[in-house]
Amino acid sequence: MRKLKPDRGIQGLIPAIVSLLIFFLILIIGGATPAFHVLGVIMIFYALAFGFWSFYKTNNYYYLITVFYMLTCGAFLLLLNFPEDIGSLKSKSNPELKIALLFFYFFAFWMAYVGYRKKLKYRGREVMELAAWDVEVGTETYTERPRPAGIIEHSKYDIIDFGNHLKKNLVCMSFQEENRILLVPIKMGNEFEFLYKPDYNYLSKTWISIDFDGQVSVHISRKDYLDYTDDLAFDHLCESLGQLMITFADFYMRGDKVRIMDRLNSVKMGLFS
Amino acid sequence: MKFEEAAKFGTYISKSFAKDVFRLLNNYRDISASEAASRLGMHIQTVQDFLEAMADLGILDKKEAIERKRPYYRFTLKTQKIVFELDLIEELRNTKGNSIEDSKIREKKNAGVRFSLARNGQYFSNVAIWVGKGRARSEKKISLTTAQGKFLYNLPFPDGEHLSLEEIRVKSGVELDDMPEIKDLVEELIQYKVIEAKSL
Repeated sequence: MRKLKPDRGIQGLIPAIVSLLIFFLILIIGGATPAFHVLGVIMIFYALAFGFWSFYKTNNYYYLITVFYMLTCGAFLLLLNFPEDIGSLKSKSNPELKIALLFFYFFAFWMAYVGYRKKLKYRGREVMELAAWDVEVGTETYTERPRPAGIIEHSKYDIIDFGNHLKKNLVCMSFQEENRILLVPIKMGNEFEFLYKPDYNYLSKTWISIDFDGQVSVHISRKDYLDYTDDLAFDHLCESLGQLMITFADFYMRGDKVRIMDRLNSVKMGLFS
Repeated sequence: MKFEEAAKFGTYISKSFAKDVFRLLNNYRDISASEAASRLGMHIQTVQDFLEAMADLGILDKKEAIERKRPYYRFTLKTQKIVFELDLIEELRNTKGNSIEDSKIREKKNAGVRFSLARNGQYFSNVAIWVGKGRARSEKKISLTTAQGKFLYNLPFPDGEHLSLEEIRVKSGVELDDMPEIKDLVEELIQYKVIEAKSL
C-alpha cells in the first residue's frame, strides 16, 4: 500500500497551459499564422529555458532530446503559414517546412520513448516511498534535526561519483560541500524550485549526507514528512532512508547501477507523479 | 592577593551571575564569552568584562582562538582555590551529582527546539529553545561546544531507543574529559523539556 499521499499537483503542466492560453489569445486577436508563430517562439524559449537549463543543472543527456524536440517544433511553427502551407505539405514546395516536420517527428518519437522509460522523471517520490515501505505509524515523533544513519566505506571520489550518478538519473540532486555531499531527492513538480530558484536552500529540504569519512546522516523536512498519509515512526523512517542510500551506494560501487533503477521502478509511480 | 586586586575581585564576585559563570568555567574545558553569555542568557559585554577581569587577576587562563578569520578568546579556569579561601570545587560542584549518569535519555516528543548545524554539518553549533508562555515567550539560544554538538547530534530521536550518556558518548566519539560539560547541557535541556530521562 502507498504511504505517500496521491500527487495531484499541476505545476508541471503550467508552461503548457500558459503557452496554449497565449496561442488562443493571439488566434482570436490576430489570426492563425501569428498565433502559430508566437507559439513557435515560445517553444524555442522553452527549449532553452526548460530543456537546456535542466540539462545544465542535472547533466541528464535526455534533456537534450527535449531541447531538439522543442526547437524543431518551434522552427516548424515559425515556418508555417496557415492555412496555405497545410496543403503544400503534400506537394513538393516549401522543403524547409518538410525538413522541420521530419525532424520534429523524429524527436517526438524519441521523446515519447524516453518518457516511457521514465528517463526524465524526478525520482523523489519513489525514494520517499521506498524509504517508508515497512515503517510503522508513530505519532508525534517528528524532529527537525538530522539523524546519523550508518557508515559506508568508500573513497571520497567514489562518493562524489555516486552523487553525480544519482543526479544524472534524477534520483537525487547532489550538492558538494567541503567535507561531504548532500543528496536531495526531488519530487516531480518540485523540480522548478531546484532549477530556477537562485538561492535554493537545499539544507531545508530532505537530504541524505555522506561525508568523506563515510558517515551517513539523514534529514527529512516537515513538508516531506507531512506528505505521508500517516504520521510514521520518524526514527525508523530516517534510518530506512539512510539504509536505502547505503544500499544504492553499494549497488553503485559493485557496478550494479541498474539495480538502483530497478528498485525505484518497483514502486510503479506514474510518469508525472 | 593585593588589596586592589582583592577589591576588583570582590566587585566581580559579588555580581549575581558570578557563580553561574564560574560554574560554566568549572564544567567546560574552555569557553568563550559568547558561549557563556548565550548559555546564561546575558549580554555578551557583561560576561566579557567579567572574564577579562578574572583573567587579569590570574584566576583564568586566556587563550586566543580564530574562527572565520575573527580572533576571540577562550577562557579556562586556572586555579581551583583563591586566597579568599573559597573552595571553588566544593562550591561550584554540580548539585545534582551523578543522578543523570544513572539515566537513559532521548529527545522529548514535540520539544519545539531548533538545532542548527555547524559549518561542516557533522554536529550542532547551537540549540534554540522557546521559553515562557504567551506574549512573554522568547527564544533562548545555547551555543554549543564541539563535544556538546556531537553529543546532541547522536541523541536518540523521540521514538528512538533511550540510551545512556555513556552509550551516546561512545557513539558520538566524544572524549571522557568532555563529560562534565555534556552533563551540564543535558541537565539544562531536561529542565527545558527538550530531553527526557528514564532511570536505568
